[in-house]
Amino acid sequence: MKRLIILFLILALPVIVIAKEKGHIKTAEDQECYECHGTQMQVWQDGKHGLMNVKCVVCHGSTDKNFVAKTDIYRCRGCHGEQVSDVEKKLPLKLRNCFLCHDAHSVTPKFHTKGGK
Amino acid sequence: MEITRRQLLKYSAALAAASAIGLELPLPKNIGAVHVEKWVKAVCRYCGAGCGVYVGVDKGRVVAVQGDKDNWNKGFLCVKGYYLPPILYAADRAKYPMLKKGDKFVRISWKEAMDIMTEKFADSINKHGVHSVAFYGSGQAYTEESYFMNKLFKGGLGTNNIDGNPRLCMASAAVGYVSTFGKDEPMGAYDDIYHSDCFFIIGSNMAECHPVIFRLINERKQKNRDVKIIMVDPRKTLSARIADLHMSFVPGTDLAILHAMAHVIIKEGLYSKDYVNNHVVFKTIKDDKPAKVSFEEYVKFLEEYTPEMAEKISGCPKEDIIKAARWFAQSKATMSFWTMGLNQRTRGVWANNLVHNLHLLTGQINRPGATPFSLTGQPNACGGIRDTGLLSHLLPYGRLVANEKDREEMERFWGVPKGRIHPKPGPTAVDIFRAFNKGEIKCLWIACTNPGQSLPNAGPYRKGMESKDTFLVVSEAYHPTRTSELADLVLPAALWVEKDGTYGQSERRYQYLEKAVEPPAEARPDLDVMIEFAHKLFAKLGRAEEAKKLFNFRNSEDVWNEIRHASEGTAYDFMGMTRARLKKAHGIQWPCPTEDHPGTVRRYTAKYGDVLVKRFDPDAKDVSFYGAKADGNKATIWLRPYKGPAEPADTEYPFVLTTGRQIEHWHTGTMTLKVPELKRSAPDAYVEINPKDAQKLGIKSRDKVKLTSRRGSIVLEARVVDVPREGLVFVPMHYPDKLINLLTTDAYDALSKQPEFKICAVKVEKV
Repeated sequence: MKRLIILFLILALPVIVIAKEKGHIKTAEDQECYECHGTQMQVWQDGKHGLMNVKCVVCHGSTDKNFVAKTDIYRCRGCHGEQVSDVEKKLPLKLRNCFLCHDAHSVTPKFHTKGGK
Repeated sequence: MEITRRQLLKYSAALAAASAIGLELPLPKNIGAVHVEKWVKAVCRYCGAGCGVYVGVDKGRVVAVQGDKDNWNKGFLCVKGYYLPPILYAADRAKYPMLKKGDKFVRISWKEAMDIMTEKFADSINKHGVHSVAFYGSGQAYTEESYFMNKLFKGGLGTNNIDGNPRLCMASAAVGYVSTFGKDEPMGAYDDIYHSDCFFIIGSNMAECHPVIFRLINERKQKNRDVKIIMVDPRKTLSARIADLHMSFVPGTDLAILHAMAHVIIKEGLYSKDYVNNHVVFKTIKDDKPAKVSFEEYVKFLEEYTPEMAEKISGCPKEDIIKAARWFAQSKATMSFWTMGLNQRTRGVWANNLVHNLHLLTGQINRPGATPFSLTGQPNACGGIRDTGLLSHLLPYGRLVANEKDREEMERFWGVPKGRIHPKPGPTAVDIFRAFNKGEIKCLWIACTNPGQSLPNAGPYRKGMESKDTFLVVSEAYHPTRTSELADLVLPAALWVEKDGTYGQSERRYQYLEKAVEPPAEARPDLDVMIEFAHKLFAKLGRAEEAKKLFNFRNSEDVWNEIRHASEGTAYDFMGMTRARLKKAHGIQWPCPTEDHPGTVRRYTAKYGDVLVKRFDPDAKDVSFYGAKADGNKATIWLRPYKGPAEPADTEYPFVLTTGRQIEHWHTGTMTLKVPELKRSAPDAYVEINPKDAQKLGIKSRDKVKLTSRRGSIVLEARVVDVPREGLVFVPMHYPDKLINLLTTDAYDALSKQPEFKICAVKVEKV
């Protein structure tokens, strides 16, 4: 079973990591994120970042040329500098992605969410 | 999916293996480190929380910011702090001195600018006396800049025509502390959050205005579910999301609620007899003077403030008032927070006193987790203005203009003749602009602040600033702003880490900001300009030799060393904070009298480390309010009668307008609105309306709505949300093209002179 999981992860990895840089579709100046991204925003709002008002722009930038579809670890450095440095030191470039382990919007760890140690 | 740590490690190993076997894993294009040559230690430019930051510099530009994990904020920043770098590179940075000719600004040299400015000031002083010139400073300027201007005006020129924008945001807190405890500034610290079991938050939307402090409270709550959070606010803000009890009330009626809580505490025997007997006196005002009264008289005074009476006045349910009183009194340690909701009021000082009353009455004070804590709006309002004394009634480090002994002490310290410091406090913020309107003040220098947008009832003052009969100088990092557009002369200023200096935040923590990059074009640090101005002005007044002695400073370190000595022997004593120490430390909290002293987390308690207790009150066993010597080193519980706001809603103007902040923006938006991401997230002003009010008026979200007060009107987009209570509308204060302060009132607190931004009456119409 474990081997199967490992094989699955190896095969699924490109899918997990591959992400094309996408621009944002043009929006009206006063259009709010929740109008199109309500589900993600609900997850965000219920998570730690939502409670602490770490708003969409922190990870995704603006909807113009500053838009970021997939956040890299250096965006996390503003508040999590130590963890980012740790990832930089310990993981190869290709695996430096906070969201392999943390859900992108709730930011809870993907794995031991029920108190695993 | 539930996976153990052991399994996770295995999966991580598999991921690493995938990489090792050469599997091509395309990555997002945006991944990649921002290259940083060096990290420079600094402090966030925005609010009074004073988050430690490191500024990443590459090729002479600030390219990144990260939180300082060794500072109190533990590396966390809010969205504004995260996006600090772009503020330095905004397209409208002021780069050259600009002189208004006709209706246009033309570029001039620094020499021309300083010649014109000193000529105008000298001419005005020669013709009309020293009280014809004034300076309006800022809680965003460095301490060295504010100290220097205070010395120039009060010690050099002999006028108290100098005040700062903290008059608009925290004067009531300062007078509240002084009148209750004898000296200004909180006795507690952010560290108290880790020890508190009950948070009483009144008139503060911490989640948006002080997000990183709010984070600490949330963390405390998450770790200890028994912690109680009481939120007293007529808006159900984002902060209320973590509240156990949200107490809404008719704006301006909270004095009744606070008295009613005291009433319950006494009636139910929840007060601390020992603490009251040992550390408290009671006072009221009789014949316009403070007069001591007994505890029994205080109890009698409170009799009428029953929870029922408070409910009738405030609309806050009596059950909530009783519950709040019990939680406040019975928790192991209660900590209060407040900001502009209490301070920006015509009874702001009284409201502050009443919060202090609750702490003193219950003994929820002078130990870890139990303390009344006023939050600050600007990064250096405490350290640079309140402590340094850049307010028209103050002298440095707790000394008062009106006190002869204090004047003499500063005259000796500055080496100026006895009688140089004028004995009468000068005009406060609003009154400086009133005098400028009337032409009583002929020359005004505004630095590092934007009163053309931020003054209450801004309309008339904007006209005065634009007048051709007076001379207005504005030192600014940006041009045009809603103030610099009205100036006769604009001086381009270095911003934030383009210069070095000291900031002092809400918990008495002083922090040094190192210069990281050069300012753009011809922009200069304000301190350099101030020193040059002082020498040139004094030369024109025939006092060049005196100036050499008075203003013998080469740089900010020279000024800082004089500042330390000005604090020596006072209740602020920070002689131990040498520049060298501050460069290394992640802030140090005063008092810090010697170089081997670590700083003081909690004041007024010897048991928890305040060494000044023994100096000022040698017989005290532990607690001593040594700033209140005349009251036997005891604090004061004040009997302040209930009084409502200056301009409550009425039939003609049936709504209350309140203003405030959004998390994305700060003050007048000169910085944050230049950051594309923040601008996109919060692009424009709006008016929040309660759904029930909106229904009555036939207003839907995004409808255009006209707000009209007795002073002005504005059209805004409606946001119908269950945030403000019925009868209340809210508008953010940040937007330069939507000047909400054209509507607000300039009525101010009689004691603190702080205007009542938070409450004015308006009518609301769908356009």
